[in-house]
Amino acid sequence: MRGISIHSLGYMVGAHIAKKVDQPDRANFLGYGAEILIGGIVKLAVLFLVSAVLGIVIEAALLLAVIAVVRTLSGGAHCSAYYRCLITSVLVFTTLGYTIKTMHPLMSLLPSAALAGIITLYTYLYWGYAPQAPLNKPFKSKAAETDFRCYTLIAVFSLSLIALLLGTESLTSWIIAGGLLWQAFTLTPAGHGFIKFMDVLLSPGREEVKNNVEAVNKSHV
Amino acid sequence: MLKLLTRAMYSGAAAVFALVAMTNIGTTSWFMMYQPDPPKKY
Repeated sequence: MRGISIHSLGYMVGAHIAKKVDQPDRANFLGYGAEILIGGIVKLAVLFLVSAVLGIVIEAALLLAVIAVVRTLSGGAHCSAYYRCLITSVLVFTTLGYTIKTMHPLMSLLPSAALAGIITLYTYLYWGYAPQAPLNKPFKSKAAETDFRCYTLIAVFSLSLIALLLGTESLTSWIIAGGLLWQAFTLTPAGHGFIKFMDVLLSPGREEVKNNVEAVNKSHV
Repeated sequence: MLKLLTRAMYSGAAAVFALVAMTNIGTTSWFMMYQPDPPKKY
């Protein structure tokens, strides 16, 4: 088991496919695609399995859709390994989904100003911190960074408008607001600190992980 | 016939992997909280 990882599995599949289509020089490229796809499938399977056990499949699916769209554009804090990312993501998504579902009867009684307040808060965070490119995939130009900033703000504005139109009585509104607030949090220094904490917590005693995470954090300060 | 189908299947898989790789090289990947290193040459 020690030698098996999503990375090696992806590259094995990529190399096999490249050989079969007579493009051996594209093995690494196809392997990268396979790694992302296999990793995504495993993550979705684990997330929906845990969500089904907790009875929050719809909530988790909505949260995933909202966060995936915005996170692809805005970036955010990252774990230093796939399995730590998997555990952290599943923990965050299910906790968020379960909390929103449980609290919804109470939250539906709140005035629209409460929802507007959350929207104002996360819009401020996106305005100040987005976008953040991963260390290993920096923006190729200032124009690309500006584009991603615009796309992020457009996506946030559109989703917030849907939440406002649906109103506080709708569970979807709170899921959108909760998802966007969490994603905005991962852009902040506190969010980076939280992901670093989870990263180190899930790999006790590993100096290498701590050093990697500190390097990532310094780059975002 | 079987050979043709197999070839089409592998070509389809290659196209899907290439599309996923291409769309993830310049931006945050679908991994959400982990970024695999992109290949050096592509």
